[in-house]
Amino acid sequence: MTTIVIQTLINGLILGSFYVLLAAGLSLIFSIMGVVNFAHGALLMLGAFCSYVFITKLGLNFFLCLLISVGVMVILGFIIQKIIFNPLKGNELNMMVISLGLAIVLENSAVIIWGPDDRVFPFFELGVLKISNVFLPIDRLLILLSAIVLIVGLYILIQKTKIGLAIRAVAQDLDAATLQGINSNTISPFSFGIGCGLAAAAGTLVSPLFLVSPYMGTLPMVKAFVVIVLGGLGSIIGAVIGGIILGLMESLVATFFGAVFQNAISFLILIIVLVLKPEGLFGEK
Amino acid sequence: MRFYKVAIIAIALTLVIFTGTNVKAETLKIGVISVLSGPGAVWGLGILRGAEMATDEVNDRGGLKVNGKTYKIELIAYDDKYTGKGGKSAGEKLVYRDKVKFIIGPISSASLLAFQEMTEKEKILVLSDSYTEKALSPQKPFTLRMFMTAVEATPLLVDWVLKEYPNAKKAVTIAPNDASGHAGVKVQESAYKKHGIELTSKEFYERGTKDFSPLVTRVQMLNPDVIAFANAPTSDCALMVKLFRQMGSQAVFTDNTSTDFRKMVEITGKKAAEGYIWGAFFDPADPKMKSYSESFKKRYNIEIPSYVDPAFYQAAKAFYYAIEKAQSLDPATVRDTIKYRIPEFESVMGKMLFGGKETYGIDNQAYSAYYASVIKDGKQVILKKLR
Repeated sequence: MTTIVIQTLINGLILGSFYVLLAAGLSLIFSIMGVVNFAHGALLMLGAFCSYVFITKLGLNFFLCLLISVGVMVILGFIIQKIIFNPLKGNELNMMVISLGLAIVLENSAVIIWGPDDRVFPFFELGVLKISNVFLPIDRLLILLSAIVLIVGLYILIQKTKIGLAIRAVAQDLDAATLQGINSNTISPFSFGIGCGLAAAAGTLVSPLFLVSPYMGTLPMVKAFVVIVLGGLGSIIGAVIGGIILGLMESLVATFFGAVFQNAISFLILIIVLVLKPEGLFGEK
Repeated sequence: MRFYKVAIIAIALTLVIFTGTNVKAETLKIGVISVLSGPGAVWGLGILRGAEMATDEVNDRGGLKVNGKTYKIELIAYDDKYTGKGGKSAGEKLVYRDKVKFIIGPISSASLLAFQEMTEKEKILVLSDSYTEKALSPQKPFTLRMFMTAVEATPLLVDWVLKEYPNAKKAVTIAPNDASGHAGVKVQESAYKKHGIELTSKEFYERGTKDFSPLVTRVQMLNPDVIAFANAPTSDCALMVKLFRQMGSQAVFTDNTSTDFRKMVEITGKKAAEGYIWGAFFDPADPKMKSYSESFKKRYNIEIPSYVDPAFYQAAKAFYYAIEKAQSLDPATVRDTIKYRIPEFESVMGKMLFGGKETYGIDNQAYSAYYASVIKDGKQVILKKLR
């Protein structure tokens, strides 16, 4: 039983690290724009397909693909925010609707370009670590390790750099930040781009495990939404803690009660949080 | 004024001569409802491709000849997304907007059940492959199931598996949590019970799930001898098999649906896929199948991904054969001709015949050949003809 519990917790941590990456980006975008970007799952998918194209057509190394894909999506995110969301600044409802539309456009475009089928992401066989009957597939551990590196990198960017200070200022009070000489017309798209880069990283890291398809971002988008509600809208610490909690809960419930409850627990958590503590664990009231 | 009168008469005469002398084929619209996107698309696209190939053969030879008229066939396809909502929408569009009298598909049970009441009421002939046992009944005379389902096929496969692995005592089923999945598990349960084996567990998961590590961990706890997938898409099965093997499982994997074995090997790797058993509806070495495979590859530039492609090619050909034999476009007449004259018709998957009255109360279930198949060294090997 101990072995099973440990295995379950490790499964949950790995799943949670994927949610953390996705939710951290979503939270960052929310802190800047004040709306939930419903195209985030589609951007994850686009990032995954970027990597897929680089690895299959150009034969690039996986980690190089990851870096390039993140870079491409940061730039694309910058452009999307500038052209699509920025003109609607202040109109949260329209921004939300636009993000839904963007998600549909991106998904359908991916179906037209790459077809609807799941695609296998080429990856090296890394083997499995076995520690006292607990199995740790190395390709899964990679997600956990990469998520830690990326979140630490995000923390350093946000907390220890001038640009991070500017992002925090804009997130806290746009007018005051502008008065201080911070150019929100650059900071906002840049933050959006970082969010998209994190989505691309999440998509690329899970592609060897979950396959690549135009619909791969749909369910994760919903889970990321649950995470940011649980953690607190706009809180990156909340996204980290929330992601880990959700991953662990899903793993525990699915292992001991059945996989049919894996998604149900996410929505139960959402309901409980909205009823009891709507600001989330680390959000502001 | 006189000039204009002459011009009008000349134009009118020209129109009469040229429309009178050209024999224009009429158009016969045939509906296709199938899952064209998402994980089930490997099967759903098979329905569309099968119908397309058979339709093009008919149109290339001039069209269907019925009662002195010639009909070019136009396929109208809608994506049901493997859901009831999608099926209902597709069915209503086809019947009420596009005015079709015949529908090929769907594969999704939820989809069929969502529109079936309407098609039965409107007497629309539906050639489906939905696995739910509710698809066929005496109250639904206009629905034919063109291929064997788990009810007909699974007992044959389970009998064979338990003969090959007589020491297998613990079996677990894994299926999607929907009508198709539950129907598949019910049949597996009954087939194992016949051999005195109670299923150790019946596991279900939501379609769209990609991280199967909790489910695999849960099943591994039970240490089953056989892990039987029921109506799950190949990509889902492959992701699970990969994880099971990574966790050291030595279980025998069986699949009651047709497997895209190439995709299985691509996802899991040759070693993990070794020994994966499924029931195949055709023998790839058969000369008719070989010829069909070549035409298929030439047209679509891929290998045949599952049995659904040749199955619905055969079904559509049988349907067009029946229309010309019956010399009628009346759905009831065409239905009866398919049912009673299909033994005369042989295509890529061999002969077919209709039965099923003892199970469904109506002889609207088609039967065809069935083989025990296994993955060996990354390739499909037919082990035994079970039917």
